[in-house]
Amino acid sequence: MHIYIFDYFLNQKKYERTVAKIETRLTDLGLNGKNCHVGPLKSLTSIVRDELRNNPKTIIAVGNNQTLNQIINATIDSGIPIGIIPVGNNNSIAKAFGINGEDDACNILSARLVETIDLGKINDQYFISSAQIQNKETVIEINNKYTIEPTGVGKIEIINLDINQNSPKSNPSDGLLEIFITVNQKGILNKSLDKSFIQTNNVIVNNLIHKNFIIDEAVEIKTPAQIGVARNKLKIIVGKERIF
Amino acid sequence: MFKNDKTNDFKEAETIIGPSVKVEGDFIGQGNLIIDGIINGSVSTEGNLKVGDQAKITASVKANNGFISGEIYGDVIIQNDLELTANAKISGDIEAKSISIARGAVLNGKITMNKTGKKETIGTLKNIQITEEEINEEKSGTL
Repeated sequence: MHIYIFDYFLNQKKYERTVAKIETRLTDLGLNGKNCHVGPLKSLTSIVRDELRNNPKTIIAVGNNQTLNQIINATIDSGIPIGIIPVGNNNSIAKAFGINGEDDACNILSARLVETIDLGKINDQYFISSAQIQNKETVIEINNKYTIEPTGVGKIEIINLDINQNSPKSNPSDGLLEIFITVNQKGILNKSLDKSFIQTNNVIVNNLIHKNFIIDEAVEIKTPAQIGVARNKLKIIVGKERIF
Repeated sequence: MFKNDKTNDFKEAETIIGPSVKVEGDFIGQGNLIIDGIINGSVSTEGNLKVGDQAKITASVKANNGFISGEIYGDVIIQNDLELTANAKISGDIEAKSISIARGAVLNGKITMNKTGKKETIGTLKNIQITEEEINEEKSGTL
């Protein structure tokens, strides 16, 4: 059975028509299953854990990047394929998987092309795309061998799935993370970016002024953080236009 | 070796250390490495190494091929070809199979050529600026 998890923000009136349209489309495609709506009394995580007992065929995140991140962390060791129906803003991860909008998502679920990819692991949380933090007072220790310290203002991105396609080397199935360190350079006439790039599978990041990481452009994680790769951890239903 | 000078060309290099980054420790890589920042410790890669003119390395350096424009304070061991540009400054011993040194490069240390797998010291240089012509003359015994 397919389990559809509709995120809390979809209870807003402006999404009523979209949700109804998705449900109709899924019925038309013969993909109907159990629709679970997150509400004020039941969290997404507890719904997913309850449904896992029934051994579902697929769990589908209906919502945005944050919805997907929560579902992945709740289903992490189940091995059940995850699907996505992107609704609203902040759906960059779905787009990277080749899923553009609700209609497209329903067709992709019907085709059921499943890919197995790595996940990034930051402390006890998993992420699909990236973990970001600002440069200021941040020190990166790589493989317990050397440290990297940016000397200017900018940001550090630790990438598993390169949704912005900055690096052709990025591959979510290679067991490596890409670290991009960007420092803003202010010139007299123009601003430029100074970029550094490193591949690794084990990083410890500490921010001395206690700024947090943001994973999957949605969830905050405290520092210091140990970041690694969980190999072949996620089975995900993807479209043909995926970026990897 | 490094035909494209752009430091944001991630296709060729496995690792790029930009000018605004400081690295401390033992930096070990397997692919091509571009360094434009500050490194203290040691640098070792099985691929090619490019040291940009803003780079300042206080470390021993090992690589397959080397293209040096910046400053290195430490020994440099290159398996094959080493090229020093006019901006290069090296304080330390060099070992390579073949060396090209541009006019204006500063080198304080010993050069060891290793063409047949057998080490051969061709000279010891102390605090002087040398040119490629002078190296050739030294090789032919006219200096």
